[in-house]
Amino acid sequence: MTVTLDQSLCGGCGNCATVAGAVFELDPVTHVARVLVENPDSADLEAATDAEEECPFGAISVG
Amino acid sequence: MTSDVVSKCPYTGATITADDLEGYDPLDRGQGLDPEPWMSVARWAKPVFYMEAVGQWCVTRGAEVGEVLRDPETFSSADAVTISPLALERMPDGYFLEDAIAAVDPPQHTAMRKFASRFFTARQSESLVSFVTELADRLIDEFVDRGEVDLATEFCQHIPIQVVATMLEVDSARARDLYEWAVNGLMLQSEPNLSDPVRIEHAVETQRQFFDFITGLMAERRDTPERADLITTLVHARSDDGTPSLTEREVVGIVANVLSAGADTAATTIANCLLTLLERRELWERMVADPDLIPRALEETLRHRPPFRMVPRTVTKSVELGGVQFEQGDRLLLHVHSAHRDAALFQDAGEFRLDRENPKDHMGFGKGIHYCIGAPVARMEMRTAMERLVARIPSLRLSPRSAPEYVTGIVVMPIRDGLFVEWDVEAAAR
Repeated sequence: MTVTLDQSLCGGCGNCATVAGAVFELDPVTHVARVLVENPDSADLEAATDAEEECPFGAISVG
Repeated sequence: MTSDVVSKCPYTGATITADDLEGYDPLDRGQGLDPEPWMSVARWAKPVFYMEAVGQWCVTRGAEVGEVLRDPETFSSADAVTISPLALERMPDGYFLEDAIAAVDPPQHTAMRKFASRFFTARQSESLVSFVTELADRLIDEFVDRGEVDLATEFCQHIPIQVVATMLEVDSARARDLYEWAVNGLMLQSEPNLSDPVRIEHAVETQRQFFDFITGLMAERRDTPERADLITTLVHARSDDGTPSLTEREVVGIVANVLSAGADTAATTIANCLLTLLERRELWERMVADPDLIPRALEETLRHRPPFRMVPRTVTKSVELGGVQFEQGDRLLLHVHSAHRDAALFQDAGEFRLDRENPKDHMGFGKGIHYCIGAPVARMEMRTAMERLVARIPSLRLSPRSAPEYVTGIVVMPIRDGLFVEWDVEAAAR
């Protein structure tokens, strides 16, 4: 399972970094989210899936 | 050649040019409700201009509004809440909404938001669908036999505050008080020039009651650590070393923020959506025929008639924005309504359309780190409330006495009353 994030859609709210801090981070300069771990292990993968669900901009996909 | 860009005041018929923008008064009822004659000139000729009436700068284009919202270091949310100095004088401990999540910067903001965010997830909000369905049905039961009602006061205004009350596990009988306190607080933040002593006295008194109620809840929840609601979680949150994670002021700020943000904006959006659909009744017919269009109609309402009108920010360092040089301490108001009418962001921006390719590209919930934490809950409650009205009263139409009134404010313009509608009682699902 691979985590991808479309930075052109990202609204910079940081929800993903709150829900799955090991997988996502909000860039402190650009304020755009980025993926830290593309193929997370099972616990982090579950968090990444939650982040996909909680992203208000539909920028994250896990699959 | 900025003076070539002109528009017409809809009230006086006078020509508006870039030179007239300084005189734009967002607290004037007409200009506040329909800012486009001024903003359409500003976006072309003077995208960032000074508003004499409120002593702050107006940012009108989508590009700059987005840029500011996404740069919290340069454009701070702290100190951006401006209330009348005469009101502040009456608050010896300061105004508690200055500690709202929306009014603080990182890293404090990051910590506060983290505690609150897990109560407002998409999953959490879907679990409240049946509550909102029953609530909407109960409200409709109250008036369905009458054939006419003011939907603003008897429907829209009850939905969000009852949802917040149930989320915070507050007695639903207090919902009306919470609504009044929250709206008075929003208006206090919306009228920095307020000087009428009677209105100041009233506003300050409502905020004292609001504060006392919240601190009362916090005291009560300290004794019941077994509860799982937001307030209990906040007052019992501990750092690794066992000290409280949040200060008393921060907890008050979070709770007051949730209540004030949750009280009106969704109510006004439901009202604005109904108004648009019923003014062009063929749009209402489309909702009746295909209720799956309701979420689209609501997103387009958030764009076309956003409940948050202007968002305040304070400049923290020298920066150029829209051709104007700013210094630390300058105050900006980001005109969300105007940004949403920017042709660079939306085609046919003045039109209400259900077929937009980018229906969610609005800033009705903000953008950046202060993006509305309650957006999933707001979307769910607005959608569910609309679905119940469409299902039960398909013959709904504006009544001849319909005359919606809004409370005029800089930050928000809450629906007050006058959204009178009528229907065929026999055709309604009673």
